[in-house]
Amino acid sequence: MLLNTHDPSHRRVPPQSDIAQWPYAKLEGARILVVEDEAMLVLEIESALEDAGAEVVGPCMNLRQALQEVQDREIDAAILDVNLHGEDVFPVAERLFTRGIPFLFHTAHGERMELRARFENAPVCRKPILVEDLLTELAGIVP
Amino acid sequence: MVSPSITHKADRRKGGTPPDPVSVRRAVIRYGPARWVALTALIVVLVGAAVALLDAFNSERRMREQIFRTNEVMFVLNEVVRSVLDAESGRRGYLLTGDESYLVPFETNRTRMPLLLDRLAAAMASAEQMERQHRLAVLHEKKLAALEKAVALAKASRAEEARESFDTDETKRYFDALRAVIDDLRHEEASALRARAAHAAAIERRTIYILAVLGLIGLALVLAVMSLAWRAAHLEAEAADMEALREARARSDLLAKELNHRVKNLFSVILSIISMSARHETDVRNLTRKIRDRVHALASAHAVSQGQADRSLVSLADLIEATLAPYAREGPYLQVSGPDVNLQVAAITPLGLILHELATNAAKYGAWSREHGVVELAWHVHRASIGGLTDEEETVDIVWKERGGPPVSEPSDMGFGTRMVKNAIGQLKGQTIMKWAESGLSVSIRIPLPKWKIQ
Repeated sequence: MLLNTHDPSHRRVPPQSDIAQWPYAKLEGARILVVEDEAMLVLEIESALEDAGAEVVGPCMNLRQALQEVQDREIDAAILDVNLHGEDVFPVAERLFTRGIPFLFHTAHGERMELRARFENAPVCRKPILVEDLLTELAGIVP
Repeated sequence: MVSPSITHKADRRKGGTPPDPVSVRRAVIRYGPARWVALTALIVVLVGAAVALLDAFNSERRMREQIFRTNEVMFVLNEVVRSVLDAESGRRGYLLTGDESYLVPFETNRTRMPLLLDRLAAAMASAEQMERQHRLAVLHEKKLAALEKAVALAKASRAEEARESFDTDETKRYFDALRAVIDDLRHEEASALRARAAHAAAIERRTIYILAVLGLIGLALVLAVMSLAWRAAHLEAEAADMEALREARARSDLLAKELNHRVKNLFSVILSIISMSARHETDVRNLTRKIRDRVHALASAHAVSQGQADRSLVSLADLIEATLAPYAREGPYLQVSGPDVNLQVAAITPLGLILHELATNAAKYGAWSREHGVVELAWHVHRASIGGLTDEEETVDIVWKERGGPPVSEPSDMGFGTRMVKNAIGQLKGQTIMKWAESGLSVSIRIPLPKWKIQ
């Protein structure tokens, strides 16, 4: 497995004739910040974004790294896991909000009301969610 | 660290109906009329006791005064009688013998009587008594005058006349009248003393009753206060029990939330495992086996913390044993060694997946693909000072070393396994070094240990 090579031919490319219906069209070339501390999820989201033609910023598995990326990089939209091993992602959300960058929350803490109260325009995707649905939500907020 | 939902529930309990029974009952004790009743009763008891005692002392004092006055009156009256009798018998002696020395008591009486009458006047308690004293003075004056008359006759050697005057009823009448007045006074004094004594006795009895009743009230108060204190302590204990219950519920709520969170995360991980496994696999059998093995490895790793959902630490040795159990063959194919080390529960998923990937890789391409291939899995704890004197970071260095397999070389592109391992190490906030050597793959992993330890 370790010796397997990543085969780019598996990328899901939309049929040229049907470009308008391709749900992830807006993700093509978009720079997406991924903040997620679960390794398997990082892999899946990263791969799915690459398949959709997006550029992954990160992925960030802790708050410090995420804040650094927000400061240093151009970002079009972000996927934010709420709890990063006991640390809340909200400082990252605050900075994105200030800079007018759209983001969505991807969390298993479904009932946390403060998500909506502070960032009422940010969609909340509850884990477990299918990665396709996550990307559809993301495509909805990418400018 | 109270979760919002628990705070919310607690608020609802405090704010809405029905109210918290403990706080209501506390309020009854704190603000009820009982304490005012008790306080009023206590004041009444103290004031009542003071008044009763003062009354008793007063009555005693007045009786004492009455005794002194009665004594004085009785003494003075006795002196009066004695003095008058002395004067009379002196005069008789003088009349019989002509010896002038018999006249001494008579003279004494003349000088002493005014003093005695003054003392009597001072001891008189009423106008009626003063009247009697006055009559006594008048009668004594008349008696004395009669006696003087007889003495004067005797001195003029008119003995017969003197004896006659002495024998007339006059002096006897005066003396009887004098005695009558004296007896009246004596009776009056005696009855006044009796009355005063009876009054004092009555007051004393009353005081005893009052003090007894007040004593009982005091006792009742003490008992009431003790019972209140006991009830307060009881309620306090009850409240403490409820508090403990509430805390236990909060803990179990928190635990349920934590478990719920863990389950959701695990389902996410399983979905990712399925997606990622499907990426490079076209054969359904192979795909199914890969997914099954990975989910099974995940389940085995998590079984280490099972049954102790509130455990926040897991043993590294247990985790290794559970995850690598499917690959453990008889013989020296897997050599595990290391001290007791505890990891955070959050390390289960990434470390379990890393170990599974390394093991499947070893079975497919590495040491375990040959008959005598061996995997050495060893770890030791490493302490490093970071910055300050007290700040010490503990890490565990895990080394996976394969030998006896075919020669391996570094892949030109990162495959799923490599990316997964790198990400999982990132999740563990660790570092990793992978070496593809002639003798076999070796992987060094350094991950930080939780700062707090468990006994």
